[in-house]
Amino acid sequence: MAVVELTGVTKKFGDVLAVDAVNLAIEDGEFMVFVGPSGCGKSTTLRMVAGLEDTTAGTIKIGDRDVTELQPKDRNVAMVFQNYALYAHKNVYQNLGFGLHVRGTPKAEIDERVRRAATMLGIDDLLDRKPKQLSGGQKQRVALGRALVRDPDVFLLDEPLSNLDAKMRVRMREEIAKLHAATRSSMIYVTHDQIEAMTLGDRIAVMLDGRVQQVGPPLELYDRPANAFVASFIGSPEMNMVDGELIQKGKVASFACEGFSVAVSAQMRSLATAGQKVTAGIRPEHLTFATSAKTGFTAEVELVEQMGAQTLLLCKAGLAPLRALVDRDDKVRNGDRVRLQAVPANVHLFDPGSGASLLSD
Amino acid sequence: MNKLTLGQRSALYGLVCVTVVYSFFPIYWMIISSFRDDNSLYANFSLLPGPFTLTNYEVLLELTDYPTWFVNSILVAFGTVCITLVMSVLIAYSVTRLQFRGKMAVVGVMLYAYMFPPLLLAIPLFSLFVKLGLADTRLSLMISHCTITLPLGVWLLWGFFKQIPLDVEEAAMVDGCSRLRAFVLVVLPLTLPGVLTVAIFSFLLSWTDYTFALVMIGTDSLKTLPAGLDTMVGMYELRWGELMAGSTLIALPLLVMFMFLSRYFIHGLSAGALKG
Repeated sequence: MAVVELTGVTKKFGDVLAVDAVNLAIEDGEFMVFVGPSGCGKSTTLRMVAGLEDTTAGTIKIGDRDVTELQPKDRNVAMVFQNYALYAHKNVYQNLGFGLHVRGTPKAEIDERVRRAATMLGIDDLLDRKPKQLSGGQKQRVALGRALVRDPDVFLLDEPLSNLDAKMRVRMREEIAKLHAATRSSMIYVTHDQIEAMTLGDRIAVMLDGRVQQVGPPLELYDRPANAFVASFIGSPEMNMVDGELIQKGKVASFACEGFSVAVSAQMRSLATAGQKVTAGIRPEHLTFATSAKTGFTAEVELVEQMGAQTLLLCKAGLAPLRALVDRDDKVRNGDRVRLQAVPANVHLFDPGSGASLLSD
Repeated sequence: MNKLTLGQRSALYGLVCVTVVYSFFPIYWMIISSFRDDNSLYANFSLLPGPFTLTNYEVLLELTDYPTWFVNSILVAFGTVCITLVMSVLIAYSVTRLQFRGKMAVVGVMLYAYMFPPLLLAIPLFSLFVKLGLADTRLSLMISHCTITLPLGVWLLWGFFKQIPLDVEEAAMVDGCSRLRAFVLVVLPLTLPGVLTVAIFSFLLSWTDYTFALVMIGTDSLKTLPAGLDTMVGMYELRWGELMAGSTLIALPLLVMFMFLSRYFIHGLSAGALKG
């Protein structure tokens, strides 16, 4: 059963179309991530689910209830905000219990649920503190706890880790994942960070300009991006995009541009005609050093970035700039000429006009 | 900050002392005069307190309408504080949180009204009250006082409400509050210093107002303290002793208020006005 169902959900701010007819179903217990650059409408969509923004058109259902016109308080959702949004005049205990308190839950039950959530999040020794006495990570735990005690139909998390430093972000990310595994609650999580999206989501909805570009499990988005935007947004470092055309030499079809050519898969070949203009997408981690002098193509290394286990090469193959993420290589230097190759299955082809993947036709 | 030299420091302290003496001497003089008899008031006066007598206070409280004026002043001041608080909280909140046409015009016009000298407002207001049948009532005085306290209140609270992140209110709404309940349970407690500042300010302005009280109230039994005291200044007689006792009693509640609430007052003024 879908816990949250968005049908044609649209939001306009004046003449600006912020969210454009979004259709999406979040399943029971699913961790759904909305990801996209700032201004893509992901937060607005989440706020419409929470009831903090009115919808211009479309309906939102939570469970069997149409909540489109309901007040936030009547939707039984819990939300975690980017800036924590803790009640500064209340201590941690009161912050956690506030939602239950205003709903008239008996004191004994509030106490039990607050303490259970606090233990779960490891903040049981902070219950008497005021928010200003907490660190960023502790504040975010309290904000999570405040959502947790409520036992809502769905958790909404609006960029909850953006204000934390890099280390704390990774730790909290793991904790959120564990929390989801432990509670199996439905969650909608908004982020602009594709790594958060990949690591946390059961499914990811990639958004751009108010539209959902693609919805699917993280690896499906990584392996079979629906368009050039999804392809370059998901994955780090960003996918290489090169304009060129499809050529046919005997049985082998390949993508060619000024500087290099790579073979494409038979499936890709079947979707395009020889001579067709295409954009090729190759992930940096799919470019490797060629196994022999006969395979692959030559590229000139312009910059070497050592990352520890891997080495990132910024090269130029002819006019085309390429990034290659190869296994650690201590010898490669700026100005070296290297031979790179990519297996055909890892070469994605997109329509240069619409950006759509040839596979999606 | 650089350390001051001894000379600079002495100069600074000297300046502070002069300011303090300059500001407090009239108050000091008022208090010691209120405890003196006529002889030491008009003839052999000294800068030091004494000789002590309570005659002025006895005469003031037993032979004049002072107790009635005191009650009137309390009623008008509390009325003004209540009206100001309710209205300025509502207006300031709507101006910060809601989107509507002419929002800034509301604030602008209110501040503009605040710039008028009270006398300029008093006369048209009085003729308005006459038409409404409100002339010569305590209510008319409360409304007049609100012409000063309300713009100030809105302006101060506007700064306070702007500092409260919208998130916090939204969190309360998602947590199960209506907008009003979120406001009462979350926003209002967070703006308490601002609300207290506005309350103190309104009380102060209303309590010490002379101009409006003089214009609006004609009946002796409805007069407030400053206007009441004024009636004691006769054409042929100036009863300084009782006047000073009356003034001391006017100042007393202000002093008590300041002792307990000056922390809020100073914080409120700086937070609302500067950071807003």
